[in-house]
Amino acid sequence: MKKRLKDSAIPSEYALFLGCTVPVRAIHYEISARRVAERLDVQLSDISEFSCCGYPIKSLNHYAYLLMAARNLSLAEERGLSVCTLCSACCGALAEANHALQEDEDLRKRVNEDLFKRIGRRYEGSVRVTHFIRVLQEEVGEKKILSEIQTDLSALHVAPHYGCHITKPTTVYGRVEDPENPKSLDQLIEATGAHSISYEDKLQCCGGAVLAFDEGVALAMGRAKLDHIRARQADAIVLVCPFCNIMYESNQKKIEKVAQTEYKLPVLFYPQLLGLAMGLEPEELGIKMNRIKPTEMLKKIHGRAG
Amino acid sequence: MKIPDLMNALRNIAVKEGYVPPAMKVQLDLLCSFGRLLEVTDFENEKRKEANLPLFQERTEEVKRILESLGLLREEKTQG
Repeated sequence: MKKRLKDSAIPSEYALFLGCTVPVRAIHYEISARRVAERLDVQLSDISEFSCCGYPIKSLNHYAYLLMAARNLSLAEERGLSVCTLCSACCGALAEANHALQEDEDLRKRVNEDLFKRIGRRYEGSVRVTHFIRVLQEEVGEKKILSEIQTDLSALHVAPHYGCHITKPTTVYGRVEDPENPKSLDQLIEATGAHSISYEDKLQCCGGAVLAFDEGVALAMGRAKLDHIRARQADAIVLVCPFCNIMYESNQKKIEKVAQTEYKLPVLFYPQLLGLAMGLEPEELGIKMNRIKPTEMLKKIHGRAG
Repeated sequence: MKIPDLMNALRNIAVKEGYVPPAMKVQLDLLCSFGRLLEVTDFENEKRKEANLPLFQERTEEVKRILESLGLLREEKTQG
């Protein structure tokens, strides 16, 4: 399976798009991604004027979403950078708007007229949008990742959670992998030396999409996955989206209360797992900020508490 | 047309007709006020500074101008 990861010797520079959740509620994701990127020679540049990607407003006013996305893309375009997101929803929203603006010249013209009139900006459609794990998978490649592995994680069995926006829609992303049977996160986990486990309803949504509207449904969805993952005795769940993290980590106690059970399942962002495999210290990867302390997991790796 | 696009179009029509779920109104207010769903204050920037992360711009006025131009602006309720 690892063979499917591409090898590349051309690390690039990206504008790091953090969105709304990462800089406030998932700083540990940002810290670990930056540390791992540094080790892998991927340059992540910051654009302080970036705002929300526009995703939350899509269902209210699609055109407003396009303008917000185009504004962000124009900021990367004027610096000649591709956009790399940590949030899967931001990636989906920006990539989808980008695709629409690149494909539809009339729409781009209308958006640019409005953008210029309101905020003096234009977007010509030259930016590429990608997610941090796609950079690792497609641009850094397995060879480079393996060359940086220093710590044996083979004692770990972790459950990958893909979430909704990392593989779909294929009309926007292209068929980078089978959206009904994705392997990329499994392969990236296996590249660290840890074992990626299979479990029931692996591709199911975390429930975060309905959290603001029906907490009961959202928690029930989160509970179902936690049950399935616990059944496979995973050491942790590994994910790549800050909002999925809110469901599994921030809301795990709430789910436990509703379900009258205890999971105590650590939730790691993929760069945290990769960073541990690279020999980085837990402190360097923001692991002290993880709400569910991966103490047992770290003991398995190093024989030390987190 | 894809079903998600159809659902989205229906939601957009409902909003035009004045049916906006309370949770969405809150999100719109936050976007108008800060340009983001979560406010970045001195507190967050202090935490970022401690973690050696670049500081964040606290407000993004351009988003407000975009939303205002489309008639979506809902002023943040303040005293007075």
